[in-house]
Amino acid sequence: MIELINVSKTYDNGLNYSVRDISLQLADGETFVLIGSSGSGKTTILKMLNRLISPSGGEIYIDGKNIRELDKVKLRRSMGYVFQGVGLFPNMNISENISLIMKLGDAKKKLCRDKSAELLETVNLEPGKYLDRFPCELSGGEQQRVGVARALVNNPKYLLMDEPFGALDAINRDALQEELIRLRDRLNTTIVFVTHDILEAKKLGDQIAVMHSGELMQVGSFDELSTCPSNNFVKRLIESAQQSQL
Amino acid sequence: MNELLIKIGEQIYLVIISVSVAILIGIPLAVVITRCKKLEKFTLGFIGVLQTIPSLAMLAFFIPLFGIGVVPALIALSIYSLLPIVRNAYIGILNVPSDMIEAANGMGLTSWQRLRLVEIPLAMPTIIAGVRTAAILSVGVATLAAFVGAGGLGDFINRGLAVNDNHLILMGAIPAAILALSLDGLIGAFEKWIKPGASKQGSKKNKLLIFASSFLFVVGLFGWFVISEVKYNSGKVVVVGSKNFSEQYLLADMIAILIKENTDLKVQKKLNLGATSLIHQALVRGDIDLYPEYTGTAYSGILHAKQKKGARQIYYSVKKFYQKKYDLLWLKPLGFENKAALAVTRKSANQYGLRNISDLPKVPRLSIGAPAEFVERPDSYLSLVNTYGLKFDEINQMDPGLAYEALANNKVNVIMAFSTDGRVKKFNLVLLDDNRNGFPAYQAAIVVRNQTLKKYPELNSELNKLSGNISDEDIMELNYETDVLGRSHKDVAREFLLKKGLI
Ligand SMILES: Nc1ncnc2c1ncn2[C@@H]1O[C@H](COP(=O)(O)OP(=O)(O)O)[C@@H](O)[C@H]1O
Ligand SMILES: [Mg+2]
Repeated sequence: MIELINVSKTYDNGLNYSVRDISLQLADGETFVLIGSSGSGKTTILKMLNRLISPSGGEIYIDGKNIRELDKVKLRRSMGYVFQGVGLFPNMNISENISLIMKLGDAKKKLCRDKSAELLETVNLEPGKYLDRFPCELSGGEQQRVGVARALVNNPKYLLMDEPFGALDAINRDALQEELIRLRDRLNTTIVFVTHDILEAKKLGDQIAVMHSGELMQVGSFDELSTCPSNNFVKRLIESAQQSQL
Repeated sequence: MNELLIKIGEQIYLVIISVSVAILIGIPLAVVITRCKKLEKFTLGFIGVLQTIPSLAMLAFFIPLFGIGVVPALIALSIYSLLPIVRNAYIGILNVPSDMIEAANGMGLTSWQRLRLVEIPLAMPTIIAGVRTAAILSVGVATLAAFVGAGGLGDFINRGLAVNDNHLILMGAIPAAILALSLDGLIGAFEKWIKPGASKQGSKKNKLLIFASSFLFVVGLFGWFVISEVKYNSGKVVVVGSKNFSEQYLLADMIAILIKENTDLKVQKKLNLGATSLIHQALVRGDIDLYPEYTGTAYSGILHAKQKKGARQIYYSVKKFYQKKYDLLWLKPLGFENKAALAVTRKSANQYGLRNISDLPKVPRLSIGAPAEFVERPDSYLSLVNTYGLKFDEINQMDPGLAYEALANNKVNVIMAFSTDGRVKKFNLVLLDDNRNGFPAYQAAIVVRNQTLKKYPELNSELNKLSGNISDEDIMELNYETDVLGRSHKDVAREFLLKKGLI
C-alpha cells in the first residue's frame, strides 16, 4: 500500500507549488491513474514515490514504512519505472538495457539474457530479432515496449509509469493497453499510471485521481467521477471522454 | 636510419606515457569537478594558466626539482596534455542528456554505476576528442624535450640548428609531423571502433582484448623506462654531458671514446643540454658527471663576476668557487679558447676597412645578430658598450646557427660568433680583433664532480690526457670537419685521439 499524507513540492524557495497538499491512498493490486493536463504535477508525484524528488512537506509511506528512512537505491530497484521519454541507454543493446539491474545484482549473463528474452515476449517483441539491437535501431513504439519490459525486470511489486504510451499511434496504444491489463492481472502488480488521456484512464484505472495545477481535484472510479463530479473541471473532463466515445 | 628509429621510438614513448598519465589524472579530475561544481572554475582556470606557460620555461623550471632527462619532460608534457583532456571530459559528462541521468537514477543505479555505465560511455566521443587534441599537441611539445636531455626527434632539430644543417632539422620535423597525423588518424579510427553497435557479435571480447593489450603496452613502456633508468643509475656508468652546439658534441664524443677505450667504465651521453644554468644544475645534481665548459662562461654566468681579469686569474677564480660552493673540479684547460667574437662578411670588412672591434662605428646602421644570452650577459653586450662605446641600432636575438645565415643574407651586418667556429671559415667571414680585451677569456676545460672522481679514480688520468692537448688551430680544424664538411662527430673525435696517440 502506498500512502501520501499532505504532500507538497515547492520550487523557488516556496514561491511556486508544483504539487500542493496531496493526500492519497493506493491499495495493493489496483491500477491507480493520475490524470491532468501538462504541468499539473503528475510527474512530480511519481518521482516523489521513488525519491527522485524529495517532498517539501508531508510524508509518504510504502507498505507502512516512511520512504525517507528507506535506502534510495534499494527503494528504486524494488519499483519499476517507465520514464516519460523512455530513456533507453544508447550505449547498450536491448538485452543489456532490460537486464541492467539484474547484472548489477551479479546475475549471470545467460540468466540476464533469458530474462530479457522472456520480457520481450511479454511486451510482444520477438526476442531473436531484438535482443542484440541498439535503441537507435528501434521505432518509437518498440522503444516504449522495451521501456516497459525494462521496468518489469525485478518483478516489482509497484510499477510507476509516466505517460508510457504517449508517443504511440492509436493502434499500438490499444494493443499495449490490452497487454498491460493482461500483465497486471497475471503478475498482480500495483500500477501508478500517469496520463493526460481520459479514455486511457477509464480503460485502465481502478481509481482515477484528477490533478489540476498541482492540486488534487477528486479521486474515485470513473463511474464515481461521472456520477458526482466534485467540480466543473472534473465534469468537463468526463464529458470530453463521453463525447469522444460516441 | 637506426638512430632515426630510436628517436621516433623515444618520441612515441614520451607522447604515450605523458598522455596516459594525463588521462589517468585528468578524467578522475573531470569527474570530481562535475560532482563538485565549486571546484570547477578554479580547477579549469588553474590548468588553463599552466597551459599558457611557455614549454621551454616550464621545462627549465622543472630542472632544479627533477633534474634532467625523461622525468621533467614527462611531467611537463603531462601538464600540457591535461587541459584538453579535463576540459573535454568535463564538458562531455556535463552534456549527458538529463533524461539519461534521470533514467539511471530512477532505475536505482548508484552514482558510481551511473558514472561508469552511463555518463562515461555517453561522454566518450567528447573525451576521445580531448585525448586526440592532447596527443597531437604533445607530439609537438615533445620535440622540445631534447632541451632537457629527454631525447626524441627534437635531438635532430637541436643538432640541425647547432650545425646549421637543414637536413637534420627536417629529419626531426618531418617524422614529428607524420607522427602527429598518424596519431590523429589512429585515435579517430579507435573512436569509430568503440562506438556502440559499430561491430557486433563477440566483439566485446575483442574489445576487451585490445584494451588489455594496449594497457599492457603502456605498462610495458613504463617498465622499460624504469628498468633502463635503474640500469643506467646502477653499474659503473659515467654520464658525459654537453651543451647544444657542435664543438660540445665533439668534445663529449672525445671524452666518451677516451673513457670507453682506456677504462672498463660504461659511458652514457646526455647531449643538447642548452643553457649554461641548465647543464650546471644537471652537474650539481649529479644527473651528469662531467662536461666541457669555458672559464669565461662560468665566470660571468655562474659566478656573476664582472671584474675584468686575465685568463689565468679567471680560471683560478672559477676553479676555487666551484670547488668550494659546488664540490666540482675544473681540470686543467684543454688548450684552446672559444671566445666570443664579432664577425663581419669579408665584403663589409673591405668596404669599411674593418679589422678591430674598435673599427665598427664606421659602419652605418649597426645591426647585430646574437643569441638571446647576449643582451643579458654582462660580459657580452655591456662589456662591448663599455670598452668600445659601441651602439647597436638593432639587436636581433637569434640562434647561433641562424645568425650565420642572417649575416650571409645581409639581414644583419655583424654577428656574435665564436672564435673556434668552423663556419667562420665556411662563410669566409672576418673575425674582428678584440684589441681592447672587451671579451673575457674563454678557456675550455672539463668540469667534473669530485664524487665521480672518488668513485672511479681511473678517470682522473684519462681526463687529464686531454689537458693542453687541443690547440686553437686543432679545434677550428675539427669544427670545420664536422660543421662544414658534415662528417660525424664520433669519427672526427676518434681520428683526432688516434692522431694524438691517446687511444
Ligand atoms: N526543477 C523544477 N524547478 C522549477 N519548477 C519545476 C521543476 N520541475 C517541475 N517544475 C514545475 O512543476 C510543475 C509540475 O511539473 P510536472 O510534475 O512535470 O507536470 P506534469 O508531469 O503533470 O506535466 C510544472 O509547472 C513545472 O514547471
Ligand atoms: Mg510529466
